[in-house]
Amino acid sequence: MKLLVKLAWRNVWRNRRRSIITVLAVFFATALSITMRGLQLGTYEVNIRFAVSMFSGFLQVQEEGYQDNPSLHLSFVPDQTLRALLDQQVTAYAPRVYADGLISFKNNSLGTAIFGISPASELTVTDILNKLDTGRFFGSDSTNEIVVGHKLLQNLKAGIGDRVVILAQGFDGSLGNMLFDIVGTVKTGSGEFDGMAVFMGLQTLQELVGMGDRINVIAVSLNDLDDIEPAAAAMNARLSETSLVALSWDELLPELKQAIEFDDVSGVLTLGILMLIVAFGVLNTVLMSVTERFREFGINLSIGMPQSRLAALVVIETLFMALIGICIGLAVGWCVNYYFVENPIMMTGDYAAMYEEYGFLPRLDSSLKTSIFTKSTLSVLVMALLAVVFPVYKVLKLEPLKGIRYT
Amino acid sequence: MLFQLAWRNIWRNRRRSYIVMTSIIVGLVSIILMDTLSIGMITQMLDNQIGSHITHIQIHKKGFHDNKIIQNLLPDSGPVEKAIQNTPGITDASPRVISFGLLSSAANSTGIYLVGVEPETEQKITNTADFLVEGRYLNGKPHEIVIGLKLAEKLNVGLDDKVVALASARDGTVGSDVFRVVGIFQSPSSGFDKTTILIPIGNAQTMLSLGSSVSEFAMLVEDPKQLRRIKQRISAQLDDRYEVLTYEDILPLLVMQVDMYKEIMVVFYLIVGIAMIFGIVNTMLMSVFERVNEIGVLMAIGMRNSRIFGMIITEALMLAICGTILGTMGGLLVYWPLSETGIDFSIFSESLTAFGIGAIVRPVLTLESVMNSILVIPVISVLAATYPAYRAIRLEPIYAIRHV
Repeated sequence: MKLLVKLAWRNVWRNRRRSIITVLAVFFATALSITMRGLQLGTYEVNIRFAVSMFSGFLQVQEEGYQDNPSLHLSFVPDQTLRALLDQQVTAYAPRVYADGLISFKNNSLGTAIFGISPASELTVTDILNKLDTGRFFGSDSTNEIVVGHKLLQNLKAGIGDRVVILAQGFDGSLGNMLFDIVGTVKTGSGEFDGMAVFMGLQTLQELVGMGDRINVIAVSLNDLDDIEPAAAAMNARLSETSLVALSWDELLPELKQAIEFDDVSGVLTLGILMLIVAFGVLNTVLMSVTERFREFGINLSIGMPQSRLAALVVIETLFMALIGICIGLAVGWCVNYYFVENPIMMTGDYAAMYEEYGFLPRLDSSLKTSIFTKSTLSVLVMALLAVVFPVYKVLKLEPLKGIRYT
Repeated sequence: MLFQLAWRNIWRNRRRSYIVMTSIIVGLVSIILMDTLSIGMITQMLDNQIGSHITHIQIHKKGFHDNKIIQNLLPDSGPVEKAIQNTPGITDASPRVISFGLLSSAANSTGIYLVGVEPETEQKITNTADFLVEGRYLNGKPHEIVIGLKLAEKLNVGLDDKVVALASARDGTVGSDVFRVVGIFQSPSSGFDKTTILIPIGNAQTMLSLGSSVSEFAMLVEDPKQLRRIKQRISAQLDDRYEVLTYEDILPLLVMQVDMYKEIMVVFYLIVGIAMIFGIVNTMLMSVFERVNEIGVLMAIGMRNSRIFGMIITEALMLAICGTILGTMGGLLVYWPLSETGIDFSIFSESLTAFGIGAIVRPVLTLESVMNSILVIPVISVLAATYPAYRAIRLEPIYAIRHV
């Protein structure tokens, strides 16, 4: 074995130029794979974090079925056991009521999504209070002050301080309406929020729709994205006897999840194509280095070297070249990803507008997750091994006499 | 002579040439597929928007597009209708009333984009009728409503159920009316299905106290390439109380996106090209080094350096061209059947419908894709062959002839 390794190492450097180019190809594949995956996974993570902390929360506790059919009737009264469970499992939580309604100011009426929130607890869970654009947020759960999306205010042709009427269908099916004062606007970057959202105190909305102490949703925050799965599993196990469920962000924001998956799949496909092309390059090099040594191999065989060892030699040679390329690729890839983690690419102009239109942050981030590096290494290795199959087959089929006479 | 020499040289080591060409073919086929699919997605996004609601040209009161309040009605439909009739190239046009409001059922209520339509003409300019999953389209009877599947699910209503629509009327009061669900549609865009409802234009006008006024005229043209000319012709016939907008004015981001994607695809072609450079450099380099003797002889008998250089470049170029021809043909062979059937991406249906693409994506081939795919490999090959060609002309004839 030691001899084989030594032999292989020397063989690699017999045609220095060719080996270097092959190493370069492997390096290119590794570095590009790391950079691309880094940019993709890093950007996903930032977007998930952003979406989750914007309003949805890492997890939500809801009545089962509420996500698909958000009806006021699918509501619950948070009892002592639920509170105890939340205190034990999560870092913070905030109760909410969701309703749809019509907001009117002078001659204008617009459809809105109304969110009843409790500012004090909401602040610990999401960033929505920090997205204040103008004015201020309401202080208590039971005032008739509201905060609206900045585009909604614009479309209503109203201003801060104006009094508006909000009409909403109540718990019992009847229509209720109340007067409210606009005290502030939020600017989230999401068209849905900016153009449709009305935030009011939790108790105020409960009163408007006549649902008593009932709430629709408890939004939950956790320390890290990686905590979501275990926390959701633990909570659902405890909630299994009730009609409540804990849903994680990917169930709350299926569009974001699928957009990410779709982009992920197309990224993996692109890399697959790239690997395939590089594999052909490696295949060609190895095949040629094997065919030009048929004479030598023939002699080796005639003096008694087993074919399997010759095959192993070819595999080791390829692995040497692949490993050198991978090592350089890993180093360069790490540097590139580190650079982009520190200096995310901020998009401007048309590209920024397009990203925002689809609800993504106009920036590309990178990631230094170990899985990116291990997966890239593995796929390049698999590619190199696939490329060596045909040359090895050629070697195994080589007959000593033919080899010696091969010109 | 150079071409003949180069051509024969390629086929001296068949296997090697085949491998290089295979890598070119695989690369080209896959990139053509990715390219046409991406373009197909964006085109579908745009086509769906145009087909479901936006149409080619809309005429409103000036300022309606920026502020869609019900008071921004067309000052006078007469001149608009006349202008439409007097402009050749417009196939169909239909008036609409547009407002925002709330739709309630016994179970729930939700914000809506209310569109009052003239069923007969509206069906000629938009395709909602093709996406009906239950019931039928409006047929002119009053108090009927067509809604999206997502909206129906949210309100928990089915065919023949009653719903109440509320929207702000012209005089500032809130107008309301009861409607019976006659049709439920599922379009490629979930946003459209969640918010848009269609009611007869007469009901909308009564409910919102509009008299006989309408918010807009929407129309399709025969040849979208003539869009700007037609827009100008219509504008010329109307005074400045009106605005005439094409879909490009209404959906500027989507239109821009098509161009942006073409830019991004050039980068993809380059990455694939770079991945191929290594293979091609290596192949040509090896073919030069196996022929050191031969090249030495050619030099000794007086072949000029420039011709030897040219010969190596030509060999690479020929390999590339053969690969490109086969690869592009392969790409087209894969593309044609798929452009008919489309690829079903149902597992991503939620995000695809959120973007208004629809779950089935049909690839679309553009001139740019064909140009990119035809040019990229030959250009890359010539670049890749310069180094081996340079090594070849650096050989000293005397030593080269003796090389073993």
